[in-house]
Formats: sequence, C-alpha cells, structure tokens
Amino acid sequence: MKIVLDSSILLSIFSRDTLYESSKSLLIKYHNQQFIINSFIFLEVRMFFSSDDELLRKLQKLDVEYEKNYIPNSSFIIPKWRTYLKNKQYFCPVCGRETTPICSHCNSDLRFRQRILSDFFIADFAFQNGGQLLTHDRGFFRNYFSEITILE
Amino acid sequence: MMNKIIAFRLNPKRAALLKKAQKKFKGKNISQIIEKALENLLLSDEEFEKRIEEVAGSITLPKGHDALKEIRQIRGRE
Repeated sequence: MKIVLDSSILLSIFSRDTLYESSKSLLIKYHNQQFIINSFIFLEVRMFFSSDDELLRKLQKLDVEYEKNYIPNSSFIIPKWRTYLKNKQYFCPVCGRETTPICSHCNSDLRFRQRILSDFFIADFAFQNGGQLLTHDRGFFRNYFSEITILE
Repeated sequence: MMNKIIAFRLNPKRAALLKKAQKKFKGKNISQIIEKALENLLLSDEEFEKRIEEVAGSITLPKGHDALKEIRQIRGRE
C-alpha cells in the first residue's frame, strides 16, 4: 500500500518544528508502507534545500519514493476546484458582512483565484495511488476530498 | 556463517518486481538489491526513528512558522 506524504509532514521533520513529534510518530507508525511524493510536494520542500541531490538523499533515508511522472486527472480535480471556489467567501472582520476583495489599482473583483492550489493536485495524486494521505492539514483535505483517507 | 547460494526462479511478476527494486535500491548486483529490499522491509521502528533523527533539523523555517503555517502560506491559503 502506498501513502502520499504531504509537504507539511516533510517540512516538519526536516525543520524539527513544534509539530515534529507528531510527524515522527506518524512516519514511524506507517513506515512499513511505501511513502510517495509527486513533483508538487518535491518542489515545495525543495525550496528549503540548496540542491535537488541534497533533498533526494534525505528522502532516500526516509524511504520516500519520488514519482516524477504524475499526470493530473482533470475529472477528479475540476469538480472539486469548482466547489472550493463556490464555498470561498470573504467576510469583513468589522461588520461581519460577506464582501469581495477588490484590486487596489484597477478595482477588479479578486474573488476567484487565478491558479489552482497545489492541494488539489496532491489530493488527486493520493487518489490515484490508493487514496491514503499523511498531512497536518487534515481539515482542509477532509472538507474537499471525501474519497481520500487522512491517516492519523 | 558460510555463504550459500540459493536459487530464485524468475517469472514475469518477479522480474518486474526485481526491476523496480533495482531502480529503487541501486545495488551493484541482484544479491545486494535483495538484501537492501529485505532490510528496508524489516526495518524496525527504532532503526527508522534513528533515520528520522539523522535528517531532522536540517532546514530552518521563517521565525514563528511551523510547517503547516509555512505550507498554507506557500499555497496561498493564508
């Protein structure tokens, strides 16, 4: 069985942050299964390393497989992205009313994001590989990707 | 212990698995690849924890950030 490791787990391990003990316990609990990541996760974590090789060596130590040939499945991603956009609401912290972010230069409506969040590609990658994900961002993934099992 | 040679019959499924293991474990020969694969499979919790400790603390996040906050910011959700 394969398990996708979200960047939040890897960054927590590599930085030994306040979530480190929890990340370590999760990795130990599931280490007999195959951990995998795709290029989105690799790049997010790679930002903190000086070279690909340095990160690859550390991933190898943790037995994490880097799947470079991931192809996004649009029929999984797009309906969920639409739901996300529909649910995305902004509220004024003063009056509490729903509002719309406006560009300070041209006054355009900024309600819709220009780019799809990498979370959607990561969830799709997990779905394509058996549907198991290790992440610290459990609420977000549970809300939008009911097909994925968030391991605890 | 004396070295012994064992026979391993290759069928298509085993050949494919061996090829995958060769790619993953990068051994010099088949014996080494099988050794690494078995070691990996049977790695104890303590040994794996040691590996985690070896890579822990190799990067620094911006002050006041944990991994979750950092990732949410990278992804533009915060």
